[in-house]
This record gives sequence, C-alpha cells and structure tokens, in this order.
Amino acid sequence: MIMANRLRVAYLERCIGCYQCVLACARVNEKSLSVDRSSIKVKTIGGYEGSFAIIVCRGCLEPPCVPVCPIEGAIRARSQGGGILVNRKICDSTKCHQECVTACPIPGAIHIDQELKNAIVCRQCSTCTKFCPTGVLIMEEPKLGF
Amino acid sequence: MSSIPQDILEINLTTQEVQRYSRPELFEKWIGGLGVAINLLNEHVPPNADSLGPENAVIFAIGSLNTFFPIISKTVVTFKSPLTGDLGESYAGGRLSLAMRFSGLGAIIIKGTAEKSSYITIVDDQVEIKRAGPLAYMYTTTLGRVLRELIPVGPGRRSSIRIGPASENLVKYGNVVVDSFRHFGRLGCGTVLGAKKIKAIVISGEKDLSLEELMPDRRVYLKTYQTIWDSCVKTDVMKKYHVLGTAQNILPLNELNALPTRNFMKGRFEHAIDISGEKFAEAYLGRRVACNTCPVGCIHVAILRERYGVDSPADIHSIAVPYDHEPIGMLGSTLELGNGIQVLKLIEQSEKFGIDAITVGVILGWLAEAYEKGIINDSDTNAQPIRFGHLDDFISVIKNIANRDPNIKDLYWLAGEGLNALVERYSDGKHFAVCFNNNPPAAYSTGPYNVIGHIIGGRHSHLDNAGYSYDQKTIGKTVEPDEAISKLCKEEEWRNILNSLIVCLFARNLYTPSLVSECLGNLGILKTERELLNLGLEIQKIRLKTKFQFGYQLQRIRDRLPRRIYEMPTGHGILSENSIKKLLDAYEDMLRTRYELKI
Repeated sequence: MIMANRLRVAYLERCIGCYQCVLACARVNEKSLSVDRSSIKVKTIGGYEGSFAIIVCRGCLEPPCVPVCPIEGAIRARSQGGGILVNRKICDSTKCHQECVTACPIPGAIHIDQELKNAIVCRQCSTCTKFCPTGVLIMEEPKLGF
Repeated sequence: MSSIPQDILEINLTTQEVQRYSRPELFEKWIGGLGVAINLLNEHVPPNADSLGPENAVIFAIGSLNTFFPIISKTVVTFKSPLTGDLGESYAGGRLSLAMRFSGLGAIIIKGTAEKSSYITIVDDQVEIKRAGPLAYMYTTTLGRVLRELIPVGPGRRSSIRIGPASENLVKYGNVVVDSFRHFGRLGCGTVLGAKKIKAIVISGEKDLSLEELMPDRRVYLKTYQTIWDSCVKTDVMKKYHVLGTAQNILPLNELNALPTRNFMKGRFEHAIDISGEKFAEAYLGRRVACNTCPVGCIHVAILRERYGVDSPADIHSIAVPYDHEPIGMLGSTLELGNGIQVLKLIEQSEKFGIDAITVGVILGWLAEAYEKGIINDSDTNAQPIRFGHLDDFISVIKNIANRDPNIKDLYWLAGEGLNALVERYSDGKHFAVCFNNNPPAAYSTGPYNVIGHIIGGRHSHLDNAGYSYDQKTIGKTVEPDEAISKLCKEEEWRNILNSLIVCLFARNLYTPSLVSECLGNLGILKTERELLNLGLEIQKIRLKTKFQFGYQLQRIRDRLPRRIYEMPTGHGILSENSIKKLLDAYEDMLRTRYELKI
C-alpha cells in the first residue's frame, strides 16, 4: 500500500507567493494568526522580481536533527513517512544549544519559537497542500533515501 | 484582545517624536481601514493645510479582516491630495497589510517634515528615522533591492514602500511603490511623502494572534475560511483575474468602442489585439504573483528583454515589468502605441521614476495632441517632439517631467502640476484636457456613468462607484437620473465598508454584505447587514465633509468639464451635455438630502 505521507515542494515554479500555505499551517496547527509560528515559510529571493523559495522540513527518513538532541524525548523520527515530531511539553530551547537547528542542512526548516521556547517544524500533516491554490505542494511516499 | 489592531504609530518628522498609543473606541466604531483613516485625517489635517506642507499627514491603516480571510490584503492611505487639493485616498496590496498586522499596528500617521531626505524603519516596537543620504533620487526599482539588503530583518513578512525622483521633485502625481509591482498610485501620495522628505518606509513585525483567545469559536472561523477559499479557487468567480488579469478588459472595451484611443478621440484602437491581455499572456508574461493572503494571484509580470548594444546579440538584459489594464490603456491606446514591448517600456519608465501611470498617460496624450495642433511647439518642448505613436518621445517626456527643475516653470514643470496647469497656460488645449478636478480618468470610456462616477466619486476614481460597470449593464436601457445616481452612491457607500476591512475590490462580488457580516461575526464583531450599510453611509458623509472642507467645489468641476467628453465615442454612443447635466443635478439633490450637505 502506497503511503503518501511526506510533504514535497514538487512544483516550485507554480508558486505565486500568496502565503496560503504559511497561514494555513499556523491557523490549523498552532491555532494562531502568524507567519513566524508557521512550519512552512515562503520568501522571495531578490524580491518579487526574483523567485520564490519555500522553506520547510524535507521529511528525512534518517533525520540528522534527532540524534543530536540532548533532551530525551523532545523529538523523535516519525514511524512512517519521514520527518520528526516534537514533544512540546519536553522540548525546551533554554535547556539546550538548539542542536537540531544547526544539524539540519536546510536553513530555517527548524526554527525556535522565542515565546514557546519550542522547536517549530513541519509534522507532515498535509494541511498546507490543501490550501495551495496552484498545486505547488504535494504529499508523496518517501522514495529517496535521505 | 481584539482582531482589529488598535495601536496607532504617530511619527512627527519635524520634532522627530514617535508615539505609540491605543485608540480602541476609534477602531471598534469604524471597523478599521478607511473608516479609521478618514477620521484620523480629519483629526490631524487642518482644512486649509498646504498639501505639501508639514501640516499635511499621510495616514496608513489596515482593517478588521486583514490577513484573517482570503483576498483581504489591502492597506489604505489618506492624505490631502496635492493633485486635486481635496481628499487623497489610495489602496495598495503587496505585503504591507500583513507587515502592519504583525507589527500590531492598525494605523501609522506621518506628520511634519524631515530636515533632510530620510527613511523610516519600523521593526516591531522599534522605530527609527534615518538619513537617506545616497538613497535620495534613486529609482524605485533600484531602491527596492538596496532596502532588502539594508534592512534584512523579517524576510517573508517585511514590506518596503518607497518613492521615486518624480515625488522628490514634487510632481503632483508621484506614486508610492509597495514592495514590488503594487502602488498607492493615484492622487500624489508619493508627492506628499516627497515633500516630507521620506524616501522609504520599511516595516516588519513578528507578533502573532491566538485564534482561541480572539474568537468565539475557532472551528466556525475555519469553516468560513474554507468556504471562501473554495469560492476563490474552485469556482469561476475570480477566474478572469488569474488567467489574463485585468488586461483581459482591453478587447471587450475595444469592441464596445470604449477603449480610450488617441487622447480620447476614438474608442477603438486598430492595434488593440497587440496590446491585449491575450497577446501579453502569449508573448510577454513571465510569471504571476499574489498579494498576501490572496490565492488568486492577479499580478501579471512581463519579462521585458532590452538590448543595450547593437554589436552583439549578447548585449541584452531583462526586466520584470507588471502590467494591468489601466496602464496598458493609458500608455498604449491613448498614445497610439500598438506594440506590447513599447507599452512595457513606458510602464517601466513610469515605475522607475515613481509616477502614476494613468495620470501621466493622459497628460502625455494631451501633450501629443497639443503638439500636433501647434498649441505647443518646439520652443515649448525644448525641441523634443511629442508625437502619437512615438515611444522615444514619450520616454523622454516622462523623464523630463519627473526630473523637472522647480526653478524653471517650463512646459515640463507645468505637466508635473497636472492638466489644469497646462490648460491655464495653453488655453487652446482646454477642450481636450480630460480630467475631473485635475485627476484624469482610467481607461474606460464606457458611457455617462463612468464620467459621472469620476466626477462625484470621493477620490475621483473609477473604483469609487464603478460607473464603468454600471454603464456596461445599462447599454440600450433607459435609466432615470435619480435612479442612476442612487445606484452609484449606494455602491460607493458599500465600497466604504469593503475599504474598511480591507477587501481587494476584485473580490467585491464574493464578499457580499451577508458574508462580511458573517466574517466579522467569526471574529466576535457583531454587525448586521443593515448596520454595515448604515456605517458605509456614515463614512461617506465624513469623506464628503472632508472634501468640502478641503475646498472641493462641485460647481467648479462642472464649469471645467472638457468638451472632449461630449465628443468621444463611448459604449453608450456620444454623450449629450443635457444628460450629464441632469445626472449632476440629481447628484446635487443627493448631496443635500442623503448626505445632509449645504451646497
């Protein structure tokens, strides 16, 4: 059975920079109207004259952010589909050196919420894909071995 | 906690004093946006203020629904207009409303005058006014890049607004470029900032709002959001805006004999197909982008390839140029430029210098006709020919207007003041100077209600009351003047509500009174449809009061109506003076009765 359970920025060329994915993530997952608290970010490279970049967790099957975390139980790899889950009750950015952030080679894919003192990272829930009007984002079965 | 940001940031450039304070009663009564901005304009700008003096204010505001729902992406600015002398009011999309929302600001008031060219940074609660130094007189396009590097905080939620050399030289229709490709285009907001010596404002905030604290029931909000999103994306209601964009209007208007051509002499352009939305999409469109929260993405951006050398095919560069119906009409058919590349080059020229494309297009059209008729000649133009259909002439003239020397009151200086100043000097050109209170119309020669709509509209804009739309619905029908005026006035009153939320007017058919009431209810703001319509009327009364206090005189506009509006073809045929007179008489009655004004 195919499990389409990892987020992929599949068609970046279709992005119009509308922020629907950004706001949907914060609205549904964080119960918040926010850009910063969203797990997915859109930014321009060289302004609107340039191109868009979408910053989000790539859903690694062997996430480099997990083994470096010094707080037991704060993050763990998802059992299926790649990526990680953060235990908000345990994760505490004041008790570590934000090792997960520096271990990830995608700058910004994990960031620390300064108020919650938690790591904010995509949990592969697919909400953003449902609000993208142009089909940039898809959920797919992880095939690549990262 | 309230969904309406109630904080106001007041910046006095003369004293360099910055205050941040809360006005909950103002935002709750007027639901933000236009309702708040027009009241603040009344509070802060004395009626006899010099529009270019320190006593004028530039007031930005967002509305109660901004960022919460799709396509509610606009910011309003109010000021005393240097072009008309009365109400200045303009709207822009981009990322500005999002940046204000997450800075916790409902409104920003800029007063006074800086000593030297400056820029302002607003990063959450930190406000700084800094010397612009070498940023002064920079093209808006270049300045956008510099600002991104200069103030790197908050990529993705930062907004930068800026003016170009035209505004710094006090050309009366200087615009404000918002992020990239969006504008506070009309009525000279850029000029007022130029007079205040503010070259740019960059704003970024990282506040967030807890939906659970804010809303009676978050699940109801999520459901409403989904319904609106489905209407935007899964139905045809917004289709025309994302496929061809507003440029799709060119061919239907041309068919209707309503596309202003050759300075409004004609309503059809033989090269309309070559400047149509269809042609632009096929030949020049490089990408589409969206304002924040808008899943439609109406901003159509062309890639203009320009050769800078002739020796090698490699001597080429490309520029991203936004296009819409209005600039294509005013810089294309009005000037008889029948090639998309020519139109894009002229849009780019306006963009760089920060000059309103609609206004300068009509002024260029007047200059070309005056030059053709010998009303102005080479001694007036400094030997610069100004001919219909000649791109290079118009490129030079825009540069001459934008770079005008304030000490030499020549043709280009007058052109920078607007059509009224030109015809005061060159009175033989009075009858074809198409403007209403010095503000030229947009590219819709659809019929009597477009003309009337511009005359009576609060900001003399086609967007005030959509007369151009009413024209198209009434072709072949007889409508009594009272009925038509009532229709236009009520449309404008409802738009006052949309402009207080602030809904992009492209979504006006989606956000009905019923849906607006529901959306506000989701956020705990209880307003019935009737209460909203009454509020729209109250806002209109304040807009009109402000206009009249600033010196607006309907009779003066009536006396100055150019003969060309009775000569030009329209979708309703040639307009009669008598029909326009009856409509304006009906409007004067409306001013006395519905709006309780003594005129």
